[in-house]
Amino acid sequence: MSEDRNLQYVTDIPPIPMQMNQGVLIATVQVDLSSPVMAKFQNDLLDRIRSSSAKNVVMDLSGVTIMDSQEFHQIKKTIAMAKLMGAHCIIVGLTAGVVSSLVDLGINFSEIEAAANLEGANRMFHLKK
Amino acid sequence: MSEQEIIIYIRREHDVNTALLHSKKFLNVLGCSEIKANMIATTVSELARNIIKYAKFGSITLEHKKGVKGNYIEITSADTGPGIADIKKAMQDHVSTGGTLGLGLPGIKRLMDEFQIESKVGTGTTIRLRKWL
Repeated sequence: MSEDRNLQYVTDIPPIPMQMNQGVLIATVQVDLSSPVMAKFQNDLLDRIRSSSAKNVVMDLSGVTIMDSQEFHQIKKTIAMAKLMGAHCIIVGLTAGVVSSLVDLGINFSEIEAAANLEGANRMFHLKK
Repeated sequence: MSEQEIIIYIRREHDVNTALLHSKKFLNVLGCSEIKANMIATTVSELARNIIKYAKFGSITLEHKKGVKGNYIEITSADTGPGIADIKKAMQDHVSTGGTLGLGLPGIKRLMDEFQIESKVGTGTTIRLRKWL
């Protein structure tokens, strides 16, 4: 019985929407990134980077309300994997609540690039050129 | 279960989500500020993950209490897992190249106002935390 519940949960994983916009792949995250959702997101994002040959990726995390150290670690991993595929990832939209918790948790932000919004991210992409 | 307390049993990955949903609802009803609610919910998430990772089964309790200094939320994480052999070491920040933070106890301590831990190898671990509202 509980197996059925788990199976149903697995097939109900909502995909994170992503679309190309003027050469930038934008992934819009509007749910909390639990492990199954995160795993699917990683897969989908890397597949999309490969199929679209996107060089610039924006991870819009404005819809995430809670993020703990493990979830953020997975985000860092995803960014590192994307980098190995030639894509430059910038995070946008972290809320004040999420940021204050992450800072207290002692997360290492040094490898993360973040901007306040899409315009900020685009500026950073241009600067890199 | 009164409005002033909730208990969530943690056994599998899915229960982390459940714990967060219930915690957020509980804090919302109490009118907790967004940033404090986030810190408490993040703590619940970290505690729940630790239970799954190390203890396999445990519980997380949130209580709304009135104290001399004012109202606070008390979070209790209890498990009958292997226990922590070296608490002192666990309370030091881990910075590995992998970026993982071990038990994340120093992080949780920083998020909260008061922190208390009891652990016995072979018996289990109980962590009590308080956040003033």
